[in-house]
Amino acid sequence: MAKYDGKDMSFKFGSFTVPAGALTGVDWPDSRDELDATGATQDDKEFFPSERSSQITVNGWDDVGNTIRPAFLVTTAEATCEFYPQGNTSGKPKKSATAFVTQSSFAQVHNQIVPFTITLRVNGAVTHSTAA
Amino acid sequence: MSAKKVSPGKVYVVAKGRIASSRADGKDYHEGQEINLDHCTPEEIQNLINIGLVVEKETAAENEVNHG
Repeated sequence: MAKYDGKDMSFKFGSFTVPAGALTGVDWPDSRDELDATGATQDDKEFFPSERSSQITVNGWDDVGNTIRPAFLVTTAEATCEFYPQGNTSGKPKKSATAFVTQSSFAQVHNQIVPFTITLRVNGAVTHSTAA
Repeated sequence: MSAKKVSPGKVYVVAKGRIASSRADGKDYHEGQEINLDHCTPEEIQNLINIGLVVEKETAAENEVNHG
């Protein structure tokens, strides 16, 4: 079983691909609500699986060319997110969904590279596919 | 590994239970749908077959006859 690092990851929001060298992290967990259906006389908890949801956190470095900020405004219309954990090459996994920006942060500190953190809310289903 | 020789000119369909995302047109193709792999090298196509993402159309038809 081979492992891999995040060097080749790629993230795209609408037509905007986070520039190579600027992307440092993507966290895209999926979750599912659960309904407690346990009643009298039941010794073991019973649950119903319920709605699925997901949100995405993208981290990186801001660019002098000012392409990242305008691409991830909270006023930007929802668009398709495409995430390639191992890069956009044939046979590699891809995760995609429609999402909108819920938070856009560029925390600027003197004498440090300026990072950004973008949070997106997935609106609808997440598709797990394979690049072909 | 399949012994059949792959080539970009052949017709491929997405395997059962899989979703293929074409790098050529950006669209998702679901099981049973034809997908154009002309943009892939023979090695890439062979790899997609090996990982169970696509099958040659004639192979898919044979499977339907045998199992359907």
